[in-house]
Amino acid sequence: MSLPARYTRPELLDRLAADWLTGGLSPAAQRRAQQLLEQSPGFARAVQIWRERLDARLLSAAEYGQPSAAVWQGIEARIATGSSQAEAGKVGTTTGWGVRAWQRLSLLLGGVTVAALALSVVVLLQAPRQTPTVQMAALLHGQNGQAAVLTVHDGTLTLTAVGTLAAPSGKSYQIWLLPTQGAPVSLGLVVPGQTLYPLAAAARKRLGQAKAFAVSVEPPGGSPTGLPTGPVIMVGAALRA
Amino acid sequence: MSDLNVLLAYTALADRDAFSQLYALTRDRSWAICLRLLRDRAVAEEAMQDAYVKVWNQAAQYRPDLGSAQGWLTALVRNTCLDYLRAGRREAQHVVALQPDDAGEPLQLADHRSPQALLEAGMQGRHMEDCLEQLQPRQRDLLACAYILGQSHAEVARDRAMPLGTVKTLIRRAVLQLRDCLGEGAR
Repeated sequence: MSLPARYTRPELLDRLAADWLTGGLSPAAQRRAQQLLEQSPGFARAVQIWRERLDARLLSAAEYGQPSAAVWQGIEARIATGSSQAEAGKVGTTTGWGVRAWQRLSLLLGGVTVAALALSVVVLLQAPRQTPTVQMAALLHGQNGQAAVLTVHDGTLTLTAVGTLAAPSGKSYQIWLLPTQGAPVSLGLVVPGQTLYPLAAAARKRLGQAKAFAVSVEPPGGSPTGLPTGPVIMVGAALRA
Repeated sequence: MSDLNVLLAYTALADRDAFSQLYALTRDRSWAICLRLLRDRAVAEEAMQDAYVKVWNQAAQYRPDLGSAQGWLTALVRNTCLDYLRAGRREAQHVVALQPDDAGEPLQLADHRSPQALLEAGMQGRHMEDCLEQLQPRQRDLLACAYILGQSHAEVARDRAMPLGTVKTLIRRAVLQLRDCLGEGAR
């Protein structure tokens, strides 16, 4: 998407960045600035420079000191207890990332029995001559009993569901790679009855960083934002050959 | 997508490493907000804990299409502190005494080095201090309100019981002074 020519003028981007960070934009202009941040490297750089300038003095330790280490220790202790989950229940309906379900399901990553996963992977990795060498595998499962085996070989993803895997009317299922760093990467939409999904070059490049795979419920045609927005129905840790 | 957006997304996935990184990245600003609003270190630390436990629990509620991750976090921390104030645990003491209005005085530039030299110095932070020292205390206070607390000019004006036009003028003038002092823009 091309930006209006005026947004290539450094002095305008600089002024806009400073106004944005110091409360000088209307709510509508703030939203436009947020969009511009994603589209214009020049604006992102201007914002970063102004942040560094203002942080250097207005947020310096000399000005406010720093919170004690006990603060972080207290936070860790509180989220480590069941209280965090209890409080999570008070949050209300799922909004935003749509990842209240992500949060719940991600806990399953640790909850999957090692034995079951190991067995699955051993079977998948050792199946002789039935499939090409499997580079990666994951056993996906969800709270409502959904389950699927996902494997990757030769740039193709195979998703074999237990039972049928058909999205509700007016919805699509979307497959995601969750990298160790960075945002989730879409691997495409689930097509009922299809098990083989060729991976785009961009997705193949990220395979080495995969820590998990997931399937989420999205609007027809997939997530409009490029990130998972709906509840996740299955998730599973990635294991490599 | 910013690093903070990504860290927030993974925090929603209950990723403790990401949450730890998010804390390290945002701690200084959040601490400034808490201390500026609550003034008492012990109370501010208590509010910091509450705020970040909320971040952990509510990260999934962040809507990238409605604003920046930093804005969301700033609002959450600020609202947590305001809850403390409302609960009467601590009276608001963040309104500083107003200084005489000397905004009309001409700004004296610290030096006349080249823009490039000024920028390099500015990036090191030290020159920024020099430039900020040139602002009047009231300008610095208003600038800090807007930047640290993430307040709009209208919100600053309301909290300070000042005319909106005056706040706009003082903050914008402060920004212009900083820009002139530091060298024009990012160039």
